[in-house]
Amino acid sequence: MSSFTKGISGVLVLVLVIAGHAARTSAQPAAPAAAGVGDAFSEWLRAQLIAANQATGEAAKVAVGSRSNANQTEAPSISTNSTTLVDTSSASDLVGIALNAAGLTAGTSSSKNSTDTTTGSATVSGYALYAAALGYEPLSPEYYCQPWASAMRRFSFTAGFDDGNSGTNGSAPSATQSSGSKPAETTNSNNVKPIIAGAKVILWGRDVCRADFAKVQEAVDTATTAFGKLSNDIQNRLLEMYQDGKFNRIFNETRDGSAVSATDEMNFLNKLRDTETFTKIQTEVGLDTMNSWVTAAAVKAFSDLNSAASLAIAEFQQRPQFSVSFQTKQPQNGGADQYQGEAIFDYGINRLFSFTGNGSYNVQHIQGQNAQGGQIAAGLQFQFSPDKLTGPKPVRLSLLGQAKWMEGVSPTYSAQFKINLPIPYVQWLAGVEVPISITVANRSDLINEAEVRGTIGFTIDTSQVLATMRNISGLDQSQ
Amino acid sequence: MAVNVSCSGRVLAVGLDLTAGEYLVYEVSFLGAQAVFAITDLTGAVILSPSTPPVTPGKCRTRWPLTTPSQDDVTHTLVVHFVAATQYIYSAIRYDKSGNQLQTCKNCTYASTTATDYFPEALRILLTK
Repeated sequence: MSSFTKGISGVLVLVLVIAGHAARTSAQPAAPAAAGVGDAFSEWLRAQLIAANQATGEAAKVAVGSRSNANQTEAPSISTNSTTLVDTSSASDLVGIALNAAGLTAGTSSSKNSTDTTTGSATVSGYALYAAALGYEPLSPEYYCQPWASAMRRFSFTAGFDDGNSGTNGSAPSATQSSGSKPAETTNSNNVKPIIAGAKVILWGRDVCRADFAKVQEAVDTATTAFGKLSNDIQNRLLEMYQDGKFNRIFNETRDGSAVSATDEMNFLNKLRDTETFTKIQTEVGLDTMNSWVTAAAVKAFSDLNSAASLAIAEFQQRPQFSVSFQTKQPQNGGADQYQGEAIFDYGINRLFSFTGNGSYNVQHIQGQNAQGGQIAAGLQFQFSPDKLTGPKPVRLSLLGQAKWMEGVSPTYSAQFKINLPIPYVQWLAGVEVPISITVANRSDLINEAEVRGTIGFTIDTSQVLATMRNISGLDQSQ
Repeated sequence: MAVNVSCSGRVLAVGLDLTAGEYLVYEVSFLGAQAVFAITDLTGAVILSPSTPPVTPGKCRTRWPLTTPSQDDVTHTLVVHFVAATQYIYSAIRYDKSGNQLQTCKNCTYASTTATDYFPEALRILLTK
């Protein structure tokens, strides 16, 4: 079986396990079983407010929690064929899967061997493991924001592999290597290299369970009362017309202004739910007249609500995060064992730009000797529009840089351009992305000459897929 | 994205005979990290919100009225917000004094994955007292 086929098979097995769990945990009733009951009056009123508010300002429809752009689904940067040079500070709420197949990678002719590697990884949060073990619905508020759940989401674990001809087992002596320096591996073997990593978020600014939405709640309180007043006011106007006999033709009645009983009043109001009846009433009263009843106070209340929510979400997504991780890659058939301790920092500059910085201490162990080194990496990510939280994340562009030093080896300086492409138009594939990167380095790990490498892969964020599938299913009336 | 709504019960107005001991029970449950919602009357008094002690995590419930209201005609409005939740289930049930269910005034599920989405729902209550 080829390395590519093995990689695909492993990922498919993992996806099936997760899908099975998702199906079980989504089985709780999410919506009433009966057919939907409409309410034409309320829909008209809501539509008026939305239309009025569209002109008052931009509603920043951005994501929270599980869609944070600091959540890494790509293989960790220690992987030979990862599509990223820079690790981010947190992981998927549930499971993140990445696969970069050897056949999808291209390099310069001189560096072809060093890139002929399939890389796969699955990252799972401690919370997902615990919830799966106990059969909990992981996205249920009953568990999601429990102190133990928040604590366990800080931890994530990655298992993966590099499989194929890889040049990252070690580093060859280079022209700049000094005599007496520690030996580095020169073997370029066909070798499966398991990758194990663990990470803990230390500063978790984007923990949605601890986010402060007090101002949004205040705005909701105000808008709730404003909507009630508006609804009540318009209903009273219509009741008055009904009492005066303006709708006698519609209801085949002979009202003449005499008082309406409470029962008749209730029956009339409930008839406003019916689309056909409400349309006739609108025609009788006049659409423009009815639309003019929508008050500025109600419009402002919902405009303020949009502003409060947009601000709260923007602030939430820009909060800093800091995490530490440990990664190791250990070849099975000889070669250098690699160990890396890493500090990771994420910061949202604004709603479109974010910064990520990494600093790490690296050790390679081969033939009984250690070589020490380190690396720093930084990246600037840009997205064309704020995340809408609906369907796929926006297309994201990243410019990344990495400097890597190791005893006895010339430094490696790399620059990378990366684009994360979501799958458009398919709701249930909202958590799937294709990251494509082009990396330029002053040298490869095996040869002392400049290297250009292109990498393509795909990633799955199961928490997004699960949330999207749940939202699609079971709701039979779209408004 | 629009809010997806599914209702098995949804009236605009309900009669409530307080002289016969009838009452309403409001219940809101949610899926997500945090609920942001309110049920208020026309004076701005909050009847149910996330600050109401939950009966179970993710589920808030209250009975109304606790004391006889001064008006004969009241409106209670719910607004749910999706800033940190993806789904709400709202029910307003009318009970007699013995606790028997008389009418499902509202039984709706609202779902959205757009964080700035909200949904308002009003219920007018005509009181006999």
